[in-house]
Amino acid sequence: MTRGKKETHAKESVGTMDAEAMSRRFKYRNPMTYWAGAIFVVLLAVLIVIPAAISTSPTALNVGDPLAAPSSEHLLGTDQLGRDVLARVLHGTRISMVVAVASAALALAIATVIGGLAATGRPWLQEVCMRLVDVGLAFPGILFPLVLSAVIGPSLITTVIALGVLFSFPLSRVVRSAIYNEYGNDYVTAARMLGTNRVRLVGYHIGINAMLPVLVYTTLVMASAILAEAALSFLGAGVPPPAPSWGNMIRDGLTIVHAGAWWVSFFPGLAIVCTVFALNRFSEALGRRLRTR
Amino acid sequence: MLRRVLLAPAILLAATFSVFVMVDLSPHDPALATLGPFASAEDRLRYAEEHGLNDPLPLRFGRFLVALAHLDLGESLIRPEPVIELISRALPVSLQLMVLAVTLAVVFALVLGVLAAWKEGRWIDRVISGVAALLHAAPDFWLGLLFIQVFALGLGVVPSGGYTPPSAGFTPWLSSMIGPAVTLALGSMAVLTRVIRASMADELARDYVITARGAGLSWPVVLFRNVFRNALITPVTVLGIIVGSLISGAVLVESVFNIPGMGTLLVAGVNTGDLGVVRGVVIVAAAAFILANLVVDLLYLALSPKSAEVSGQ
Repeated sequence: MTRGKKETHAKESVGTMDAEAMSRRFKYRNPMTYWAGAIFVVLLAVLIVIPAAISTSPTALNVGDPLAAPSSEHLLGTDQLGRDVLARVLHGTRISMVVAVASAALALAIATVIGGLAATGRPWLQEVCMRLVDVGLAFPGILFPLVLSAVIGPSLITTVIALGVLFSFPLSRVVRSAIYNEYGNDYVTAARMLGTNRVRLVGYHIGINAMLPVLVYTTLVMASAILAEAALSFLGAGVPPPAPSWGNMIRDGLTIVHAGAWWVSFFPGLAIVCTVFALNRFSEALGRRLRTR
Repeated sequence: MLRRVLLAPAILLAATFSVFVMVDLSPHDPALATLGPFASAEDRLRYAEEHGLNDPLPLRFGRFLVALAHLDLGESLIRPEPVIELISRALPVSLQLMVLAVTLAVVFALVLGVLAAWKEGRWIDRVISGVAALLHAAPDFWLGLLFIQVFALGLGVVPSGGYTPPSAGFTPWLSSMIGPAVTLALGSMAVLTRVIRASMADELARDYVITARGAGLSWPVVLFRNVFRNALITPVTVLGIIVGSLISGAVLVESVFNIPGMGTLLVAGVNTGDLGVVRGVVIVAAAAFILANLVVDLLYLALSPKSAEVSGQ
């Protein structure tokens, strides 16, 4: 963002950060970042507290009370099977978080290997790795996970694997360029002069410095993974029911929105917007910090 | 650049191969699917033999490619039509949707992005940037449901789903397409608005803009002659990404609005295990995406002054 850039300009022109730039830095901190942080804290709280605090089961059927509008008894109403929407939205947090963290971790693991080889391997190996990434990036968006789900059948594990592989391709490029960017630095030359071997050079000296931009991108991957899981579940190719996932809850709401029961799909969607918004902001703030350092 | 052009077909071939292999590895048995669950083991073996299902993988892939060159994508396992027929009926619908969505996204992003950069830091910039950030985080299928809720069920100004072909008249066609197109455009518009805003704000802060203004040139002249040309190069590079997210988003939006395009075809294929259809749709989508990226690369080359210098040397 521009504010971050202004700081960089100030820093570059004076050499060290002067008092003015310092005060600007604290004055112009984006208030949205705090909102994002607050949402994040709430999400974590929900994640930890839920099993103990919520007595209403997300899968308990309540036959007498299907499609009840939001009321004091069911704060966010019930769905067509009489299940409490609030309980389902809160429990859905777990699936979203599990998918986000697990698929981001898988993507990071694959990308470290492919991106690392693409940056440091022999020329032919670099070429092979980069072309592999090109092929992976030839499938737009959720098409690749959809095929995988059609082939091996939808499940939580399929979703995590499919999304992990999907996001490993762009992440590989980030890993590669992060390592490349470090190569020109003096400390790399120094370490080489001292006879450090290549594995230690890349894995330790460069690795620590290249890790930060990669981690920033990984937080973005988590946000994208939450959106993608919701999309897959919405299409019936992600986490299968009756497990409460925000995506398959919106799928439940699709058929009955025409009957006026808007709350079944509205609240899970709202949960997705808040979570993804918070993660995006968090990632942006982190990236800005890195650039101004 | 020549390398890029040559590489594109190779990537498409590799992508086709990987889809072929994935579908091939699936536990679904085409013989079982065609002959039904009561077919005897001998019948199934004979079927597999006749259709070359037991041949080695490279041979079968070669045969698939030859058929592909004749525009034959195989048979649907469930519908009584070849896959290419289904695709040729669905593709125009999806293309209409996407062209409409791209137009909406680009026009609105240009207006909003330039406006936000112009009033950088003022309330209007804050509102535009905030809304763009929120839309960026919202799933498009959910926005589609909200759209149906408000405009179809609440206000009753558009139908709540379904597709009317253009042959039935312009207004019915537009009212059936406007919902899906707006829904599909919102996400891309958000991304594009933010990119245009950032790039415009950077450009407006440059010295040459102050010089030009100081020399007495009016704002419109400075904007149209200099600033736009420089500021719009970066947004062009994200167009490729946007085409990708539009293809992916169309799958979802078509499902929400019940539009009989490629997305609905793909989702039906995934949910019924009709892998022939899935394979065909995904290959066509990948081809379209690779082509779009190539066009964007060429466009960037044509626009960027740096690359013009390099090729001029």
